[in-house]
Amino acid sequence: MRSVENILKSDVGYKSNPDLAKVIAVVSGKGGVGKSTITANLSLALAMSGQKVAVIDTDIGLRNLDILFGYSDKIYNNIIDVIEGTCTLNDALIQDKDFSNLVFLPASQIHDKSSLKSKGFTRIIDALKPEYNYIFLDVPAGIGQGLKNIIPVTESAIVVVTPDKASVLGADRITGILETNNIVVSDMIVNKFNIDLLNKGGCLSINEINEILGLNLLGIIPDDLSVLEAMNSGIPLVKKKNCPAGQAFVNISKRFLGKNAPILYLFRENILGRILGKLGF
Amino acid sequence: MYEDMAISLQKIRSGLYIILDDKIPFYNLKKEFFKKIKNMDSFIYHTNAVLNFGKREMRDADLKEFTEMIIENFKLNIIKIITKSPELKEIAKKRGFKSEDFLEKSETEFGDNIINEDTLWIRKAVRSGQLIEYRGNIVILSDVNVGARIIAGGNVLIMGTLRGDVWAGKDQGENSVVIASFFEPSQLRIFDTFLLKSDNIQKENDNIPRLAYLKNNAVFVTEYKEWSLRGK
Repeated sequence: MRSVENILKSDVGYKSNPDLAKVIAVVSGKGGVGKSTITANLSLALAMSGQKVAVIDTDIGLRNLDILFGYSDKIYNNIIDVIEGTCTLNDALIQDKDFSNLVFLPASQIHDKSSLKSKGFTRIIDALKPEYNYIFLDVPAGIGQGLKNIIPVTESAIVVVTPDKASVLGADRITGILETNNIVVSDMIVNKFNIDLLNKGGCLSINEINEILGLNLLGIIPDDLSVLEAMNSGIPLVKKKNCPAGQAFVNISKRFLGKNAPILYLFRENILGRILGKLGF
Repeated sequence: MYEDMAISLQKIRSGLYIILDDKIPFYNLKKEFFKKIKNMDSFIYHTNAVLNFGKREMRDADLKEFTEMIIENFKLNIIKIITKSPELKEIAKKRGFKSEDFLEKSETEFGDNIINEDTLWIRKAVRSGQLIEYRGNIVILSDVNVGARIIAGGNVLIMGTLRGDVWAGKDQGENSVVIASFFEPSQLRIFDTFLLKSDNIQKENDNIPRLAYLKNNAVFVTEYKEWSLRGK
């Protein structure tokens, strides 16, 4: 277990070579824990603070990161097209309409995981590295071909867990695989954390998760209905105001860059909202 | 030269085991004992001690003098006297000491098996799905998580939490042991025998290190108090 001082700071965002981008994979053992949500919002929060960020969806055949960003109708070329040479890398990159320092490389829906040839993929990463500060990879769940694709290009990884045993043990498995392949797995993000459920004893506490995984806690994202809403509307959480989950991502991005920020941002409604809520409005 | 080796000290389960040579004269024995123990006086204060006199014949007054000297000077707590002489046994009984012919086997059997050589050291946590197999002993300075598997030809020592599967003494290590700071294995096997776990027994979260050993075709778990850095 790490001391409190270490918890406040993170070294996952630290770059040994400032000229080249750091490649960070967002992984989890179990599916549905929120890898894509975290990739989208963390990269946007970093872009908001001025970092140049590239995001690559490596979930070939089952893409969904474009939905979270709201780019679904902008995809004309994708990563497989780039690898197969039918278009250039710049043709496939999608620039965010609010933050020009964020680009997104979508996945193909009609291919499968084995189409992501490691030679071509490495070439794409190498081309992006000098131009950006961070490259985020949205990795498919599980330990199959999808994980094997990203191992040669990744430097470090962020593990996403939800406070349930299946997800924590899955994260432990995937951490072991990445560590054997010399990928630094130092940080985890706890998603869908519900403090009411914890008080009832319905989910694992942060301490229990930390005891099993032994990773640095990068942040906690509260269980918030607006996450689902943001996904369906295509407007990422960090672009919204007064949203607790969105604020949690802004804090995570600060801690990612080595600044101090509180781990859990608990949103308190104002008095009027609480009274109206009690009256049933 | 010979008299230097007249007294030998060993660490056993219940405390300190003091073997006193039965061939040198009693006066020299006292002198040697003083010389040997004086260097470590406060370290051994209030330690339980077992004295082994071997075949030495002693008078009542000699025994009284010797034990009083030990208790007064070094504050040792004499719990047992080992002697082969029936007369000394009688005298010890009169003085209120327990006496026996041999040291019980259970006193030494754990310490003796842990051989220093041929050991694999692992510094990182062993995570789910990872297998570590080695013909000798395995020492893990971190945790063994659920779903991880450790297979050792000898003993296994885990400084962190043991939650995974462990198999110690794979080939012929009937005497192998498994020690862990936090002992919660999902599966534990020594040589050819599994640790049987009952569903009814409550989980013990007292944070005492535990030791598993094989005896009479069954695996037993005891508190490993020798390693009492955490204390109770």
